Amino acid sequence: MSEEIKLIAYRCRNCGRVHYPRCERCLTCKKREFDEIRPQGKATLLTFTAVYSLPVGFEDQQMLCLGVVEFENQVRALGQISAAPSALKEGMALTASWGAIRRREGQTLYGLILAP
Amino acid sequence: MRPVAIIGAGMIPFGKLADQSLMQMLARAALAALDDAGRSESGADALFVANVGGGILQHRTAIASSLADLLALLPAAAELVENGPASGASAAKAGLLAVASGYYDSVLVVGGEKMHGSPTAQITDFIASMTHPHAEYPYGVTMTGMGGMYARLYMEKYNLSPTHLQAVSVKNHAMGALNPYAHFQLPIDPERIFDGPFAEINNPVLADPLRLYDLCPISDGAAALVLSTVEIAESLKKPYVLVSGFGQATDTHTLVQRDDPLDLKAVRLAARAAFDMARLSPADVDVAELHDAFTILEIAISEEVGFFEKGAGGDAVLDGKTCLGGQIPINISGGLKARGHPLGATGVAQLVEIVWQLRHELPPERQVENAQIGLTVNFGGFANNVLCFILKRVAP
Ligand SMILES: [Zn+2]
Repeated sequence: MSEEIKLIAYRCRNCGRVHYPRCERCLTCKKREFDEIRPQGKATLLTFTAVYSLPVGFEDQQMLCLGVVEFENQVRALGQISAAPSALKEGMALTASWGAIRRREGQTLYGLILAP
Repeated sequence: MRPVAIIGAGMIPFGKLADQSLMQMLARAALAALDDAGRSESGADALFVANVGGGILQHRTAIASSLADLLALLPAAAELVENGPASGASAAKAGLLAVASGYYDSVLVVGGEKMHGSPTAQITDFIASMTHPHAEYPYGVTMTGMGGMYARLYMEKYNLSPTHLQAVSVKNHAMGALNPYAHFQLPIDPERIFDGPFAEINNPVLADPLRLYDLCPISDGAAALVLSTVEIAESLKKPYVLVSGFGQATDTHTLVQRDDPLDLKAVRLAARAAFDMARLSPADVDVAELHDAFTILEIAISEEVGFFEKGAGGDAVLDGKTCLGGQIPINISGGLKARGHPLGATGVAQLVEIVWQLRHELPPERQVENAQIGLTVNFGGFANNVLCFILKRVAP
């Protein structure tokens, strides 16, 4: 749980708009220079779902809880939530970490993991 | 640009079509449209095929060339159009522009998809391959998962209840039951599906808060249209349909990148462009086919198109404003919910339904009385590529 969050977002050097995922031109001002930033501060849950019909790579799971959070520095991202949906409410603060999210073709994929 | 008519429409019944290959489905729909247009032998100058999964699920690529040969349309021009779940409308748009430009006088548009025959997890994964490769896909989010997150936000903000969503499902299944081309032809018994002791089993949560009966099924199917010049349409001496408006807009690939994730901006922009071109307004539309991949989307799209104020679409369904005989009948075909959603076929099938409605050819139990103007909205991804058509009846 202590591993650094490797998610990189992109803040436009001209207008400050934060992009995640990356775009080659700023969605607002169309400039091409960005500073790489990491999510900072507390993660606020904007919306979530629990999915019960899962794609390949989740064979040992019945349910997958997913949600979108916004960090204090405006980075917005989707993550997996390690909690039952009944424990969640929009607007609540979640803690963020970086960990294994999926097995795909013999490889482990890593990503954003959220928890109450 | 010269005006463009739709002179032929045809489709095959949607469903689980185990005994038909992708190419057979496309060919049967195409022949139905050619026959309907009175072009059983003359064919068309060009062919546009809409399909998404042929290369992945059937291991078939370059299928437009193959279909031109199969249909003996040679030496007609032929292209495959892939634009996710909006492929059907995109192929129709390619046909529209091809005739409008003056280059071709007649065009055959065929959309189809064979989704059964692969394991469900593989189909779910294939559909999820249109999500963002880093920010979405690895997390296991599916289109249905996006629908669930969108529905939660919408229901919270606009105080929408499951009853509103159920009303969409009940309406579309009731209409699908009257459409011999629909995948599902059974009306919903609310007591069994929503209220009874077995509701949790019959209608399980699949992407909280969305349940089974909020989602379109996985379907096989194909649909086709023949587009032509107005001169050709007039020579047929029978009612035909004119493409009076068209609009298209894109939005960010991911929902998280949007300023307001509830705002389906591309739907609004595509519809506005189509209304501007047609010099019409939402109040002029008599019948609409909207992309109800999830029940929540029929409500949200009906608002963005301008039929209802934002937040009023749910009550409009409950009040019967969107059913046959209502203020604006929506998804009288059964929609994606009951007719089914074979990706490449959907946008074409929506237009086929509107053509039938505007030619006043349907049985009275599902004919919108005296329909003159119809509208379709077909979209890809989570509303990141949206196409809107407005069609108009012309009677000689
Ligand atoms: Zn900028």
